[in-house]
Amino acid sequence: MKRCDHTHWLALCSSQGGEHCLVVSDRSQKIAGQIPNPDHQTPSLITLIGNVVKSTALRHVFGVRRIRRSAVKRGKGEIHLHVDPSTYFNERPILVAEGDLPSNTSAAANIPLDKCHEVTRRPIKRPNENFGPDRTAESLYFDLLFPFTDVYCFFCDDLGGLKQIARRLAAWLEGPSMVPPGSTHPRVVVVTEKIPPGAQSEDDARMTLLWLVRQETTKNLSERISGVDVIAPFPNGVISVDSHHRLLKERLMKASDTVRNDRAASRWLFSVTHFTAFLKHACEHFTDLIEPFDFIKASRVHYPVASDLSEHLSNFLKNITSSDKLINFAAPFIASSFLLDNYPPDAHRMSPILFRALPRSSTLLHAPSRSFTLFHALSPSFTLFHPLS
Amino acid sequence: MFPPSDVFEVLYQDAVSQLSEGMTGVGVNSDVVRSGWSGWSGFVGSLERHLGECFERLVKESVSASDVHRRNLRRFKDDWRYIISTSTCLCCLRRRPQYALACGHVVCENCVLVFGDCCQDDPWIFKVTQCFLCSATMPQVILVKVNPPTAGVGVLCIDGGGTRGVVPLMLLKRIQDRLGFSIPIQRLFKLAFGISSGKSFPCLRGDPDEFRGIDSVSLVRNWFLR
Repeated sequence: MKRCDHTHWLALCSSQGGEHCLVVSDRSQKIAGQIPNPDHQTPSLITLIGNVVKSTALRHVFGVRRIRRSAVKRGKGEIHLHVDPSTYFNERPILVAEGDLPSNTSAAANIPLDKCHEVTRRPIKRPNENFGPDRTAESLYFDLLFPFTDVYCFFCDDLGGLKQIARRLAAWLEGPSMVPPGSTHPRVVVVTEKIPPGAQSEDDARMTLLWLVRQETTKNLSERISGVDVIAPFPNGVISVDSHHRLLKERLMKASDTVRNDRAASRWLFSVTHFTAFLKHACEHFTDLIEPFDFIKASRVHYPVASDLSEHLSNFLKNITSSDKLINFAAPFIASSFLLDNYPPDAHRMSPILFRALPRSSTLLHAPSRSFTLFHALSPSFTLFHPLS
Repeated sequence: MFPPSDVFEVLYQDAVSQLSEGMTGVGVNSDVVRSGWSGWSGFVGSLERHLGECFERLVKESVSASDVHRRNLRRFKDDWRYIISTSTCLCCLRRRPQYALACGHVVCENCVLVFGDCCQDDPWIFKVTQCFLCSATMPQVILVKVNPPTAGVGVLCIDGGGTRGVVPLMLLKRIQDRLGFSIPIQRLFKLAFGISSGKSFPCLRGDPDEFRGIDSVSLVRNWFLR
């Protein structure tokens, strides 16, 4: 079978009945399969939003080659996913999601159906009457990708200027907050060539952008993002194209570093394996629920907390006869049982949903993760065990 | 790994809150109340703090959660001598218990898998030599055979025909020879169905008593018994 070089990842479409669908390809899983050490490498996701200038930056900044497929035209609001090829073997592979932010969406998904990749179509059942086509297209970037993105990079000259970007940000702020509890917030970077390069003009443009956002909404941008930068790379001709884009890359990576450090400090930095699995769950969550995506709940989808946990705890606590025992015996032991329940070996690098079949080595059979995925709650009956004869 | 405070809040706080709805009889022993119960919030705070400490140990010592829990089981072994439950596996506080040990404690299969010793000869047989809770030595080593996770329920279904059933019979024999097991191939199936001549095979090649659940939708005579 020919190698799949399609980069389509997410898109929206409308059925004849007006129902919106999220169309997802297996692009993220394919990329994960190409990463040499997915259980240890921890990716960073940078989301580029624009069109012509964005595409140029994609090639020069992240080394993504253009796929010459004139027969496949991009649909509006499609998001493509790439890997910076120079980072495949790095501890930190750079994933790049990119697409446009159309002003009106005909919601035409154009992910080509081909035997080389898998496409899933999920109807959007989110119960929100204001969930119109424009809101849906933005929500792919700001809701679905929010927990995973380090940096949102807007190409100002593609999107109609700072005012348009401010309107989009304000519209996002006005919508329901889908910020996952405890998550780190991404940074916003706006790239423009319409202002003179230099720290002062960049800072002035940043203040202008924030002012424009405040004109559109009373909501605070800092509730959802950790910072805003405006970057004015040196115009082409002043320095070489490569230098121009190298400077841009340095600034983007610096912004990503800041967010990544926060993720590492708060233990929200995931391996490629976990990152991909959570993305898959996030896509399912996006179509069904209006509440923020919760990584912890997603990690327990296939191994939920016992529904009768309070009954079991109560059965145990009935035997505790003093407050001293309650504090010095029951509490630490219950805490230890919670630890056993939620942290199998290599948890977070190998949480229960991502558990892969391990070889039948006796040492591995002691791993609680094996038991968590393979064994279910047993019936109340018990047997007085007789040794095997 | 997810921060323990977030994990507690998302996954366990609801269950613990339900305990507080009844201070006596449901959640907490009445003796505790009489002995000067300081309040539910103190208990929950202590629980969160201990979870954080366990987590720190997990990270700093690079051990597994089962190692940390095993250590806690042994730490309280004297307390476990006086606590028995047949409704809850006291080892994990998560499942119904299944295997009763000589000391009176009853544990679940999962805890046998996690805390028992794996046999060297068979990775699906686990030995229990002492109680995980009170550390009482078992008078005899207990062996627990666990069903491998990849073992499903084998169902054999043979169609009729095939020159009076000779063809499926020979195919089964070839498969049996290729597998090279010392047991008849029927032992690999829990349930068998046969149509027409196909219904005869389970009875023909093995002990029919070993084979349960044979069903036949055919009223045709068994040609092989002629």
